[in-house]
Amino acid sequence: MSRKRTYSRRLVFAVLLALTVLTLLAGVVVGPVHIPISDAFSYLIGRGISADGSPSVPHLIISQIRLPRVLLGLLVGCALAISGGTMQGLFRNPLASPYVLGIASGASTGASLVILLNLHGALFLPLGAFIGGSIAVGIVYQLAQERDRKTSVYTLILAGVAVGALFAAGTSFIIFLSSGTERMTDVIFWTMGSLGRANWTYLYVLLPIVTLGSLVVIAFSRDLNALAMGEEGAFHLGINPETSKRIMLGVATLLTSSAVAFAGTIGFVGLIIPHIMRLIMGPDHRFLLPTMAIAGAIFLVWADMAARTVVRPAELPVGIITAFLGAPFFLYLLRTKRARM
Amino acid sequence: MDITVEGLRFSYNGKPVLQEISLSIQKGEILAIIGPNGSGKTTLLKNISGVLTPDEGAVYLDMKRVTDLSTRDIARHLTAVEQEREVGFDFTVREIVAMGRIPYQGRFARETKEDKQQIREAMELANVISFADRSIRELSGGEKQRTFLAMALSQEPKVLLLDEPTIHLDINYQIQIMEIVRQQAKTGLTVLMALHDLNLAAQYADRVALVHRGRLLAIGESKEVLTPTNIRRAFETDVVVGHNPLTNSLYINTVPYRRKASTPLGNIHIICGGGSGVGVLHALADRFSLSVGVISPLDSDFQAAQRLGAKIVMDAPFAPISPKAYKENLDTMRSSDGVVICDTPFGPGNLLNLRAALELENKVNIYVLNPEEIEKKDYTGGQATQLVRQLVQSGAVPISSVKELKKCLAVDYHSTDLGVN
Repeated sequence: MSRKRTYSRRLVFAVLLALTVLTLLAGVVVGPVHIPISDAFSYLIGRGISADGSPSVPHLIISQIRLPRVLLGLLVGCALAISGGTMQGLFRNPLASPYVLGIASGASTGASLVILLNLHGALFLPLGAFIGGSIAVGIVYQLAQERDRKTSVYTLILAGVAVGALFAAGTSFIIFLSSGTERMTDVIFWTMGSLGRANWTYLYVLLPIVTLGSLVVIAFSRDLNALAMGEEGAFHLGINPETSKRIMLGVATLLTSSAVAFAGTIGFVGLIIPHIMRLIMGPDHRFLLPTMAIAGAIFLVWADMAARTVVRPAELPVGIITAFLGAPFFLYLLRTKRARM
Repeated sequence: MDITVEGLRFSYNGKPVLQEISLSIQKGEILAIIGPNGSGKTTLLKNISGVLTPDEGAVYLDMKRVTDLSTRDIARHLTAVEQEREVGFDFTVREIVAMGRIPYQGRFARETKEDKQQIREAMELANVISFADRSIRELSGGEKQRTFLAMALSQEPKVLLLDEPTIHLDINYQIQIMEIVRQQAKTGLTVLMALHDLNLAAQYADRVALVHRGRLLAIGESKEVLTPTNIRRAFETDVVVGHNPLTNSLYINTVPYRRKASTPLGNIHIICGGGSGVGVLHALADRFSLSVGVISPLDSDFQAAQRLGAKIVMDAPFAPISPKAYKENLDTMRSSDGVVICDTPFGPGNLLNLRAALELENKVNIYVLNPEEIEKKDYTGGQATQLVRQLVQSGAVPISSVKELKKCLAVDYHSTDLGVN
């Protein structure tokens, strides 16, 4: 059995990597302007410049619009899925997610505030979002912990919902304050969730955050496994549960907040991807977290392609697509979560 | 590895939970911590394992203070299985046992050959190999507990702390767990376990520590600690402590609480012995004020009488009744409203109880339970038989059962409240 599992784990990794390449290609090809696969491919392997040295229109579309958008989708999907998986592991509950715990609401309030104050520079957005997200998760965590010394999952989720609502109201208030200005559309964008603002600056900021954050969390996957035994169980395995939890919660908040900063609140990726991957890979976080990251990346890009194409030539916010897929799944989890976590 | 606890104090939310606990456990020893719920057993274990930090005092593993060690260092020497552990996510048994190697592994390390061997050995010791690939969530309580034990053993601990390892388990699983623990202790593992089952403690622990209201009431071998007095103090329950020849250990039985008659219908004296009086004593205790005699403290009826608060006229065992006790017994009978003679074997030792009954002026209030049984168990060469016959001839009432006795008494005392219709 364990042998068979190793084999299927490798298979899952291989399939996911192949899908990533396919996703990258598809994401570049799909769109209102038809671009042949051959062109896309030649651009991707670095032959994008035409003979006279100036880029052609299809190549401009690829390099300035589609590729940044696909890459942003990959990074945001990865960040959301891996932080969702981490939260589920930390709280030993498949219903815990960055959204349920109020982090995303806090982050979008922070990011909206950055826009309202008209602070320029790509770093301000994730910073504001991170501060907002940290405040939200900090409140939720404190509330849940003071009830009794160990963190009760139900208090956590209830507190998350309440704090999330509070921050959502804060965001609405900011929208109200900014109404009539061109910044209002920017703020509304956070609440819908979209990859449409992708640009290379965003990517340069997001890439190191997501890469490092994911690596840190993966480095702690053994701690997450130990925490499945409960906090005391983890302690007896030589893990300091409080330290591990704080580090992982902090990193997961950073990942979610940065994703929210550049793509707004895209829900349910951090909920359904970890759950599906756990069903496929088993609960061992050492294998689970990396596959979650890849699967989340792939999923969001395809969801975005759907958002770009279903009501062509208009575009849906991608958050609507993920919500349509994710909300029923969440309800299904609520019904069956006792059976398998 | 030895454990020393010195002057440990711990309070929770300002409320003292443990006070002045000092004890030591030697390598390879099994110490059971017993005590009523809320007495501080679990808190004591958590202070020893480093989960909680004592307010005062210290816990030493060999010579090292636990609070000076890193979590990882502790985990390489000591591990614990806490009460009612719940596993998030459906890990397989093997995956869980493999987690026992975490204290020895780096962040990105794979299982080494040694890891694999330790995991295998631990699974064999705890007998979980047959379901190694099943999810922990599908297992029975006993299988789960063995899995956690295997996980703890794969950690190669020198000290193992167990908090109620047998709680909610069927008796066969309780024994399985205890046998595994005993086997490991023989190879040098120091074991400290909180147990609510006094009999398991007596059977498997080398020493027992009795905790009551956060203090160590007694510590030592089970026969020194598990005395009725200590148990009464800690658990507020009366017990009978005996010796179980099958396991060569103590056994503890509770004696159910009985209400004493608040307004007794009258005084009844009972002549019994060898357990013959237990039924009568229990049947009458809640309606009558009882007395028993003459009886020796070694008699099983003695404990029942004591338990039910009966007045006892006693005398030294293994000897005929002394004139003093005889006199006292006779006086007690004279002041009673009725006398019941139970179907106890009569010998030279207690024959005088029958003679005393014969001395009573009013023999109509004497009830003789199963006179023919008494005749069968006559070890006085017919003397007892003759005395019983004399009693019946002069008016004593022969009775065939405890139920009939209750019926007669109900008539005599005009009471419909004796549980007989």
